[in-house]
Amino acid sequence: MLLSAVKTEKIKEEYKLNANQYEKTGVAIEIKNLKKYYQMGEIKVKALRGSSFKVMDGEFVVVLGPSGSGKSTLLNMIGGMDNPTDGSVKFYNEDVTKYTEKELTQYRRDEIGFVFQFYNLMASLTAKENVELATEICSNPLDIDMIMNDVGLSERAGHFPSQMSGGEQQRVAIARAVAKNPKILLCDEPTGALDYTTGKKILQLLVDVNRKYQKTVIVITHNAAIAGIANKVIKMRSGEIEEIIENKNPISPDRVEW
Amino acid sequence: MSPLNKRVIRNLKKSKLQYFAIMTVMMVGILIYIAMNMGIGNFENSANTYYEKSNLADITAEVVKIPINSLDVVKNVEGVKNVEGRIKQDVPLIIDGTNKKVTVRIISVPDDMKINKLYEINGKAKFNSIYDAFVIEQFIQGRNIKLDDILTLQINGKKYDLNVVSEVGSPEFVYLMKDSQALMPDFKKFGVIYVSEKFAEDAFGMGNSYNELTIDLKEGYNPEKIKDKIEKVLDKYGAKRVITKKDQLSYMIVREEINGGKKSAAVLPLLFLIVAGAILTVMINRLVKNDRITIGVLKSMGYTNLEVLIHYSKFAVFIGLIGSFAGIAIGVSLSKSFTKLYTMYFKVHYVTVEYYPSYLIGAVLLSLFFSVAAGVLGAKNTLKIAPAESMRKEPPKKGKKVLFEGTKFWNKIKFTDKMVWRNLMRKKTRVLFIAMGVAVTLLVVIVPLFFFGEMPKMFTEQYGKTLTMEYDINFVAPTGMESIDVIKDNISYSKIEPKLDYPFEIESKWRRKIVNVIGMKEDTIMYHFKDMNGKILIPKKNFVYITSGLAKLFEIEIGDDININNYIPGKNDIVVKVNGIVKQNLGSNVYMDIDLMQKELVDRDAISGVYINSDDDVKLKLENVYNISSVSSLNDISSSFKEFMKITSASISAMLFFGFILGFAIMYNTTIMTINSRTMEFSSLRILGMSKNEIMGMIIEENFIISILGIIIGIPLAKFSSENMMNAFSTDIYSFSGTIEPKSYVIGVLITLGFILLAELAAYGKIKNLNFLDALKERAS
Repeated sequence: MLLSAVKTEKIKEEYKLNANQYEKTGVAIEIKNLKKYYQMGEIKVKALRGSSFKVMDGEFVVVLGPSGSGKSTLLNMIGGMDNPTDGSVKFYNEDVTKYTEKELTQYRRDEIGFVFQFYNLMASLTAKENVELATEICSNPLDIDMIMNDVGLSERAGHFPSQMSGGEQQRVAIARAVAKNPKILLCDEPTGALDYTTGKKILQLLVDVNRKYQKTVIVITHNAAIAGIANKVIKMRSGEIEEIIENKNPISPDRVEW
Repeated sequence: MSPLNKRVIRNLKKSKLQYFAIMTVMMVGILIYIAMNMGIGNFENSANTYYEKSNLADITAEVVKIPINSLDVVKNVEGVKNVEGRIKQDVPLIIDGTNKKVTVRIISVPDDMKINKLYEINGKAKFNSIYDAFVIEQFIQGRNIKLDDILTLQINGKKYDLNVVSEVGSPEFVYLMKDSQALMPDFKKFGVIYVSEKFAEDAFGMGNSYNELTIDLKEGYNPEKIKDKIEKVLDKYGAKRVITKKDQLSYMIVREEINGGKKSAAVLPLLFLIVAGAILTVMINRLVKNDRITIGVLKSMGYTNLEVLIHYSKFAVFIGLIGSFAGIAIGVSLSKSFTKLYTMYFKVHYVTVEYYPSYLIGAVLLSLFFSVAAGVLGAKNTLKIAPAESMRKEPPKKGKKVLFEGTKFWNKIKFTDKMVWRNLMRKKTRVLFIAMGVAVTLLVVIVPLFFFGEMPKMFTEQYGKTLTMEYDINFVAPTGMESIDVIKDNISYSKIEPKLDYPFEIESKWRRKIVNVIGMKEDTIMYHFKDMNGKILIPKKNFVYITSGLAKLFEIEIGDDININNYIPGKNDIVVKVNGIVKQNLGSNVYMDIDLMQKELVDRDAISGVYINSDDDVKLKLENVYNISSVSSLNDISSSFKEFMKITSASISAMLFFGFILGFAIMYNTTIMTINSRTMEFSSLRILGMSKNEIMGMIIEENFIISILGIIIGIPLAKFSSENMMNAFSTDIYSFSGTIEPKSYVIGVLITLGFILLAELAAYGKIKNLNFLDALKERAS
């Protein structure tokens, strides 16, 4: 146990060193020729066919594509949730694809915050406890009460997910991800299960997080209308990147219509 | 408290009934472990303390007569520390002026008793008069004797009145039985009275002599080897019987009770713990499967595989710990009751009730072992799932046709029956697991039923088929054949046969044992022997039969020779050929032609009693006949046996209760797990229009089929277990050899199905309260 703790500290130190070295270049994520193939019986599914792009530090990026375009697969690669067949994913110039199991776990723990389409909260924990679940294992979390306040759920901190609306649950999920104080927030269809009005509120929250906490945010979606709020839009189809659009004038989420 | 630990506690509360059922099984396993081990431990320690403090004789030697001043011949044997002599004789007790055939064993005690010291319970510590008597506690209770009561004995034709001055206990008679032939103790018919040496010498005409020696050995000496030497030096004093402590009847019975109890204490708890562990493993496995996405979310947050494994293992460990603490608490208090129960039947003094830390720690470790193993085994699949993969629902297994699907028969059955069959065929491992649980429940029910049924069978086989005499009459001492005429003169009878029943030492190969050798006429009609194959054995001239238990002990086959070592003065040891092995479950004996026995071992013409078949009032008419020590009817023996069965039925009831807990826990949990894992499916069926009763009917049908499979597995399992247990629990005094009757299987199956039905009814609440709309909407984990 002690040895494991020492190793973990060593890995953390290495992260900090590399991060500090390369923050100046501003490249948070660099994808190079990323490929992911799955074998499903006799069929080989090519989820990613060689994608390359960069995400700069503090950017709000939308990855846009229809169902089956490889967006979720891409997100999983960036988040260290899966291993590519080929190519590399660099996080502040650290090749994440070469990480061991332990290093990947540490990477997800300290650097990545996930927000899922269906919130995926623990039903038997309150809103605040769901956030605590994430901060308990982090080395440098943010203050939970502050985050709960920022997402507008201070008064609902003691409520269980079953006592909350979909929008409130998604806000808890965002709080859980942000409270970890990660460098990058990865959001998989965060508004997919929500109605129009609630969805826009969630988008506004993500934009606020991006600005206030200086977090790089990557949102994957099939909803083209959302692309307008991003600094960069990466269009995907059939596992390949079709187009990368730099958006110099992103719009506010309250102006988005779908 | 960390959020994950809060999750464990809240989830446990949510499914509290389910976890409670498993916890109960674990608790029962632990409480049996603690109660039985501590109870037996206390009993063993108490008995050992009692034997040590009262200095139970290492060797007891029965002789014809040895002068007081000749005791040194024994004392000089190397290894002997101390010798005491005594006068011992069984005599009739006269009740209300008549001889009601109550026998008392008179034993003289020296002033300064150092061996087999008596335990003073009540009354005086010393004899003030030669007519003072100390009476053993069991006899006092059995006959409701009080201090200062007068007991009248008949010794050598004279009556003696003794004054009861004290109630005592004795290490020699912790379990008071007249001899090894007695089925059960009978405290109304047999007791022990301790008298002064002066009284015994005068009454029995022993002069300054003894007829029995009690011997204490020095540390480190082998009693068996010393016994041989003592036999040699006592030969000239008419050595009759020399036994070590381990062959002393009461001591032997106590040891067998302890050994039997230890065997049960080792096996029974394990059965429950294994079942609890198995159910927990399945539950945790199910939980992990249902929590697939949760596990993915935890891993996405940065929880390691080990942290996730530990989280799910905590469910099992929590149950295990609560179960063990509850089991320890109940077991500790039950152990006191166990100890008390033992000391009710075995008169052990210096009773110590201890709480053995080793068993308490052992209990916690056992439950931890099983619960940690269950948690790890159940949750280990979490390690295999990659984070991204676990965020996706488990892909459905490839659907293919199951057995009978597509056949003509398949098209005729109802839709719900098809669903049931498909579910069973597609989850064979689960089905087998539950079926094994039902099989174990059936085993726990059938095996005690078998033993309970076997005991009356053993009794009626022995007393009614093998032994068919209506009355067994024993004389005070062996006499001549003319005693039969005296009896014939007093009663009317249809049949009468002489018997000669005497203890001798049997020796074969390197083993020796004192057994009762029973002599009877070769044309006996009172005994009906059968061999091991059930074939009738017809005694021929000079026949020598031994019982199956003895044959097994001595590894004797038909045609082998055995030595009969004879302690009767003037008589020699003989070698005889065994020409029959008799199937006998109660008692160990050698049966011989009485003529051979009289000629070679005892005295021509000597008999020790008679067997009678008579419609007369035999007991009343023989009340005043001199030299008769006991008249036992088949009814007497049957009554004793019924008393014995009352004790046994209590333990059988306890076993059935444990079987109920097992069966209930297994079926209740598996039903709840089924409902939990198929909530979406059942909700969809409800929306399609199926009623709650119809859904419950499907579940019951599934469980019924699994139960039938379990019963099919359980029947040979019960047969195998009972056969092995028969061997494990057989002793010299009784042995089991039957097979489970069809009736026991039927009763066992019905009881097991009853338990299962109760569990199904208990689980019905889950279906009744199923909110199918919420279940279909649910997204949170």
